[in-house]
Amino acid sequence: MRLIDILWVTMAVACFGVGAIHAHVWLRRRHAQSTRSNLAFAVLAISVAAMGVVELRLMRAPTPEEFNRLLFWYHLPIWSALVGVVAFTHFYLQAGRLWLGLASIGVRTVAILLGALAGGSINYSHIDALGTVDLLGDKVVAVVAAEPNPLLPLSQSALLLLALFIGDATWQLWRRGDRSRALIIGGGLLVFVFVNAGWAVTTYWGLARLPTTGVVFFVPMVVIMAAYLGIDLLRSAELQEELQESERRLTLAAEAADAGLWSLDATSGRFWATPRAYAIFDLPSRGDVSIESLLETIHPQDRRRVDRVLQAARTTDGVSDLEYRIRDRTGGIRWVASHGSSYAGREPGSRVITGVIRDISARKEAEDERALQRVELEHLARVNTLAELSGTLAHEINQPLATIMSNTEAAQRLLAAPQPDLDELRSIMGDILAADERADAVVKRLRAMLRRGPAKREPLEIDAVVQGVAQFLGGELRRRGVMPRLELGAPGARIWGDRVSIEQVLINLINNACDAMTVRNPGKRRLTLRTARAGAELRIEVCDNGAGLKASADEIFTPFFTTKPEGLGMGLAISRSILQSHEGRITARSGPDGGTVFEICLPVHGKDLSGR
Amino acid sequence: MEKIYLVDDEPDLRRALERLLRAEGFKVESHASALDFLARLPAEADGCVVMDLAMPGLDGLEAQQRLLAATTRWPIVFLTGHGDIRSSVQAMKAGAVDFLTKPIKAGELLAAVRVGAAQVREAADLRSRFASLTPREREVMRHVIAGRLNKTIATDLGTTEQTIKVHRSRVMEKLGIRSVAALVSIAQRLGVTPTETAS
Repeated sequence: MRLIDILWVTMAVACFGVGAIHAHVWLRRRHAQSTRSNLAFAVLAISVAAMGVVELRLMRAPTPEEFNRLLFWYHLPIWSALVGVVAFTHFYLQAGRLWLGLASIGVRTVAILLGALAGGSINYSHIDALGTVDLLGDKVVAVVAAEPNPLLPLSQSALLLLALFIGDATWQLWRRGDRSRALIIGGGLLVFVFVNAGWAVTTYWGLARLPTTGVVFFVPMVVIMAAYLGIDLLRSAELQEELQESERRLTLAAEAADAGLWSLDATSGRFWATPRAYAIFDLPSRGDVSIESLLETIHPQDRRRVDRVLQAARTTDGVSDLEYRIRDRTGGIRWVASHGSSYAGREPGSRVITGVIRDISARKEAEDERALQRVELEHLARVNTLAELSGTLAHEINQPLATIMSNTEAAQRLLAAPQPDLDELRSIMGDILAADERADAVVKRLRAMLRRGPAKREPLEIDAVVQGVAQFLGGELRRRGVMPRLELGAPGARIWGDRVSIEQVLINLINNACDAMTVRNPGKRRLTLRTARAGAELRIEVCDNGAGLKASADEIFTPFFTTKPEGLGMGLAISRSILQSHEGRITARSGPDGGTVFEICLPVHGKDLSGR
Repeated sequence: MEKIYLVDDEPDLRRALERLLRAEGFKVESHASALDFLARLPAEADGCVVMDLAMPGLDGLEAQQRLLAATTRWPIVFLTGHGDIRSSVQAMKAGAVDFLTKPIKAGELLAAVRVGAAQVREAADLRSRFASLTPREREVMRHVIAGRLNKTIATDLGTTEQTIKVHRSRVMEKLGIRSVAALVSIAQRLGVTPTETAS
């Protein structure tokens, strides 16, 4: 065997080999877009292998006719190699104006067809004589005398178009900052195109007698491309390892947090979850789990809410947090917190919804317990406040009762007269009714404050609430020589809250104010209740002209802090907790006349009644 | 019929009590505060006072102390929301007619008011009897309540024992009493002081 045979066969086999490998990669993962560059490369490499085979035959062609016939077959792998180069540039480098590449392929196709119609190749009209030239110590066939085909410039303009396409792509890569690929692949391709063109021009126009050795120019390209694809394969293997490692870390974190992971392919409905997630949903971890069977486990009262979020996730990107109940197979109820995310999948139009779920039953139980304790504590504080007010409250009920009694006895005496004064009797009846209503209002309010139970939220007109409390405490204020003053500046504005709790806060603050004002003489004790609206907030101020703050404004809100000998120190702490549960806040500051101002801020609820 | 001075800060109850007392035939003058009442106080007690104990401004007990400084004694019936033993004792010691707890029973109130009214009537009667005494008789009366014997009085006034005896019986007759003890008590109520002993 001669050296030329060995070299050409080796190149052909090597090119076919790498081409076959990448063709296989593409076949295995042909759904993934990234493998298109593998396909392009495979087309190029296998084409180059075919070129090598034909070239070997050309170098040994016995007659000019045989040479011409082989030349036609030679152009077919060159064409497909061209397709491979254009496709590789487009898919792998993702650069270059595609129409330039396609134009190059088109021109080349036309040239081949025209050559075939002429009964030979695009290179020569006819070959007159063959000769031999020396190549690597061997004698190989080359064209000695021939007439170039007049269509040859057409064929060569395809090379020019290709050069433009690759030049454009290289320039884009360079501008994108992908300099190494621009230099090596883009630059390499360009050199290849120019060398190829030069070789073709020299041979076919008969400027020099050269053998047909196109493969020699193609092989370096194949090697460079194969190297890059190989590096990519290596990197993806590394990525996969990193991915596995990160997955291990994720699993560890999920285990530590006692969390389950799940993922749903929204298009195919495929559901995947970790064993912990199956355990939380209380579903068998084997067999197909449909999203429907999963929704089945959700508490009926929560199902629609969860389904709504899931439906939204099926169409739009987003992150959502949900807390809902699950009914397990034994009928027990567990609370679950879910943090989910929806994003576009790898396939165009596909969508993945994935999430983390945790069993938060214990936390929910503790929360319920805490809420219960808070309710108990608030109730205790209310009872305590009412105990302090008991004298006044007795008076508030006694007074209307006394009025009713005296009015009734007066009426009895009037009726005993021969001609009773009916007008006077009518007026007595009216007074009795009014007194009865007054007593009834006090009793109702007392009952509401003594009732133990969860808060009942409703829209509350804040001015009316403040006025009601001032009325309720009117007797107490009079008894303690306090002059109340109402400055109601938020007519119609409402908050969303529990009436009894808000009243409790106000009663507590007014009580504190009265205690603070004992340093002044009766009649000089001024209490101002002020309401105002500030944007989306309602402000209530309770101002006194008493002794002022004896501790820091923060300290007074801590539990068990008190300046009163028989105080529990819970009043302000509970007030703050009540306001926090209403998304409001309470602050204290010194007033202008030495007293204290307590300021409550609460969010405005909806549109107020005045229509602002 | 006697006048009732009604002092209470609660307008509803005040109106009800006013009706009750009017139905019983009393003349009623109402005041919303003790200060208001004291500002329009007549020179002589001509009625019974019905007053709430706990009032803003001046409370019932303070008002009672101010009334004690008046020239004539005012009978007072106190009303209170809740029975407070200490203030009721204090009020009674200072001469209140009664101390009633709300809600007030009409019978109790009317009984107390009648006692007060009787006291006013009695005092007025006594004052008119005292007014009918001659200056000489008043002088003799002041000597008698100082505990002097007729003879001593006669020597002091430069007259006979018999004359003093006549004056003395006229005083007893006009004032409608029989004993010296009753005379002493009446003198106390009328604010008549005994003659100082000229030693």
